[in-house]
Amino acid sequence: MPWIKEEKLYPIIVLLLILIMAVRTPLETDMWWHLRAGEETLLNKEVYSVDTFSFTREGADWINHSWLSQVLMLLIFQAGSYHGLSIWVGGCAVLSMLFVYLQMKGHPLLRSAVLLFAAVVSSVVWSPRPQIHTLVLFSILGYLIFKYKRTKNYKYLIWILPIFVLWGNLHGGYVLGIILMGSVIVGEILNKILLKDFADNLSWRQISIFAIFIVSGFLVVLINPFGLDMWKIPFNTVGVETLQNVISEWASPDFHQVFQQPMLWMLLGVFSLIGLSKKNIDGTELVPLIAFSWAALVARRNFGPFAIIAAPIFSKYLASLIDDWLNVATEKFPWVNKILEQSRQNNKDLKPGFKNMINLMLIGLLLVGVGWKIADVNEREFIHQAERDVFPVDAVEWMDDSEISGNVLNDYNWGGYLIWHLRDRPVFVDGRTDLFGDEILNDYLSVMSLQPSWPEILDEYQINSVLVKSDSDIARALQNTNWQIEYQDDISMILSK
Amino acid sequence: MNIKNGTQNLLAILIPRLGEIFFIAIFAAVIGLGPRMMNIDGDLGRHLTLGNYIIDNRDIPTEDIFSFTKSGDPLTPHEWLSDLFFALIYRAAGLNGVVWLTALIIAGSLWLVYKYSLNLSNMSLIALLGGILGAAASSLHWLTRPHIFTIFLAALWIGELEKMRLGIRKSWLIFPFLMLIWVNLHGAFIAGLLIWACYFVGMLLDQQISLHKNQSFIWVGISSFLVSLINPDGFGIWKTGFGFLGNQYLVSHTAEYLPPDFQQPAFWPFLILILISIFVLGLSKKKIAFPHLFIIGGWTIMALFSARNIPLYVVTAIPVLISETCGILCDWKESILVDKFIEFQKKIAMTEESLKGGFWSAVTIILAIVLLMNGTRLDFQRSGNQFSEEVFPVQASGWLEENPPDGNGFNYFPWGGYLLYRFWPERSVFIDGQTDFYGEELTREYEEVITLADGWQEVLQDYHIKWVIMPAGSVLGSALDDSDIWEEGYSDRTAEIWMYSD
Repeated sequence: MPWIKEEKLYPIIVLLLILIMAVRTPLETDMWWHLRAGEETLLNKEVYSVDTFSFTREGADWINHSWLSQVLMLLIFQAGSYHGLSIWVGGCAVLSMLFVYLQMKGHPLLRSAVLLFAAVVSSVVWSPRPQIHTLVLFSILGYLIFKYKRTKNYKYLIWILPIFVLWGNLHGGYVLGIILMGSVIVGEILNKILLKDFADNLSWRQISIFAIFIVSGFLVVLINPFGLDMWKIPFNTVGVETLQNVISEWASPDFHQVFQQPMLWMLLGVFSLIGLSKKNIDGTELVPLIAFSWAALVARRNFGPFAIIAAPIFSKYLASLIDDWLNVATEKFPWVNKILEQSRQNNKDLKPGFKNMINLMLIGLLLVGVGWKIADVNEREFIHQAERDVFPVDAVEWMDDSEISGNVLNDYNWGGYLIWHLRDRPVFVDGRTDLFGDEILNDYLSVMSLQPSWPEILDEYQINSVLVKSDSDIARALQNTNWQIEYQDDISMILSK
Repeated sequence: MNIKNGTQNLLAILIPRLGEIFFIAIFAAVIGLGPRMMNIDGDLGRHLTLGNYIIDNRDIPTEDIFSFTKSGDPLTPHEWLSDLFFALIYRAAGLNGVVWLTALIIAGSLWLVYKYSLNLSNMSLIALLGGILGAAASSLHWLTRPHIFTIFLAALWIGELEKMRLGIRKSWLIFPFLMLIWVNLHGAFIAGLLIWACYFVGMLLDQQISLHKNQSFIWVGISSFLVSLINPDGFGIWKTGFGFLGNQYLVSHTAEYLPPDFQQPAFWPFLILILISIFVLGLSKKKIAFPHLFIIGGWTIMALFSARNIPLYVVTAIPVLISETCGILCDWKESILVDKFIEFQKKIAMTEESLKGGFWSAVTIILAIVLLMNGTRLDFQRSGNQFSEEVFPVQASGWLEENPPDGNGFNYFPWGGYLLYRFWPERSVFIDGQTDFYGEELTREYEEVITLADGWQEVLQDYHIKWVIMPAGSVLGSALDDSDIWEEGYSDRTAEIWMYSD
């Protein structure tokens, strides 16, 4: 007997490949202010909720919906530095994909291939941020709903409550869970009214109980330091109109970018597979698919949840289509049958010992690959170089030693880095868009895009210096005025009045 | 008896069909949006100037005559016939005529969408709903540009291909004829061959045709390709199209090639159509025909890549989508509501069969041009069909006419077409909206200047620029204001002009 059966071998291989893919140098623009907020929470033994990092919102109340993630991130960073954070991101990515795999149908090889595809789509949002917890919890929630639907056992629904309690403290993305559950209910009602040919449709009673758990999930989110305010978070965040102009992940996808295209192919794939199917799709698959296709097309940060919803549907209908085609092919072309028979025979002929050796070697090789990737992406020199490519490392060192005084306008993407590295100097803006709101963000954008009012805005905020990208429009414009270059390198420039 | 027949005939003429009401509504909406259509895009001026040149000189230019930066360089006039039509109607009825022609073409295209949807579904209300959604989705690209001819021809083309697929049309001769017109009207004629490929491969997969039999379908492709070479630049027209699309820099710098931004409400109708497609395909109990799958899937992808493809998605995918939707409704006949709806549809179909239609459309079309030519403002804003002073340098051009500067002028890219319209042949431009012709090198130089990148002053020197026209409050304007060698000559809310003073 082989130690590892085929149905387990393929997912293990793919999950290890996903781990290799997901372990990355943990440098993300928002990571730094999350770490600093986590540090403040631990130091003061109180959730950080009044702004001290910026001069534009100093003293303002802030609903820090990711406080638990921030503490967790900081503890990991303190214990394992960059290595720890990259393993944590990789682990979360693998966990989210594992629960997707458990919902899939078809041959393990096919399921594993689709899982890899889903991982590529989802990988756009794998980063050291609280959002990664949403991905995991969303995937687990999907699995619980899947199991409830199949078994009708309420024990799976009970788990929804702790998930939402945790979610409400880890990240504001809990609303995605509510949308998922709501769309499943709508799908189930669609099944009841129009699509009666599914054996595992829920009864009205089971639907009602499920609905009670949605309401309960929504209620238990309130178990957090901010209470009712947590319900405002989705509206506060999405309500920031300038969001998509500042954060690319909130923008609608740009499929001219190759890294965003896998989502498009997955959408086209699901689209085609359900079209080619001779059966109609279960409403509890269809409605969430529509909901999360919409979400992903509106903001690319939703690629992850889309992949988690689409992958099980993709594998189910692809498996069914392949079965249909194989049936036709084996009837029409006897050689297809021969090849299939031969392949099965070859597989049987392999000795279990030999199979075990090959399988273990493969898994061992992949584990070595994981170890190598973790070491490689977190190698000191590599990190320093990567940091220099993205952040104003030298400019920050220069600023630390300089006597520049007064307010400094900073590039939005560098706000978090400055918060962590220049602790005594508050920033103009950083990734906390819900804190800054349209007012500050619009002013920031007006300056950066040189709207006619930009000189007045600089005066209004009493800006004496700017730390911006050296090839930015504002850097060029200021050079043509009475501002002086204080510091300049390949990526950053500091100018003062 | 005769009187009764006469009254019935009169009623049959006077009572409009649903499709006719739809046509008139779209026609009126496009006429109402006239000034917006003209002013949202800067190229109309260039099209009119080129069309006028063709009429005056009986010559289709195959080298650049409009810019001093690329003067004499080989040029593919891939829209010459559209420009000619625009110029002819402009000479007859001014800018009102251009808007009227655009309205006619757009309303005709959407009417074709409705018509083919109805043919495939036999449900006029669902077809109407599809047409309305299509109108909402495509309205962003209702512009006075040659691409409206592509939208119309794509609608006609796919309708005829569908007829061939269903065996209603036997002859393939209409296709090379359509392609001959298309290739001279607009560079996106390639869409026709793509649609044909979707049908051809799809029907092969469906085993509806084979390579040995049904050769008429192959002839559609071969003859259309060969006919596409009958244009002023022959095979060059293919190279131009693919050359532009292959240039990532130019594509990413051309607004209409950018993907749809679903954060903007204007793109929501298209998003709704995508979601409806998933819903319909998901609920269908039948396997979708491969040609239809390729059309819906392919054009969804194309439109998600570039918003300019949304109108083509509308005219090609909506009839297919409506056909699938009605297939699902028929599956739900058990439902009383659906059954009643289908019965109601049958009654509408019977009533429509007895109607003749066409009368009110003709009246509307004629009335619109007569009113427009008499100076009646039919647009929603009542501003009249003219170039907007808020968008184009209308006043600044007046100043330039009174104070003609010497030498070459550097112009804001979207104003190139308008400046040609006002000043050519006396003045040429630095650049205009024909990005595929100007190419990456010049576009980069232009970008260098307007963003004040290193070397921007050298670019102005290299091209012997003696005056600059830019929007008010531009970065370049601030730099020129601070410069000792440039003096501001003119300024208003829209445009500023600087003169070189050595």
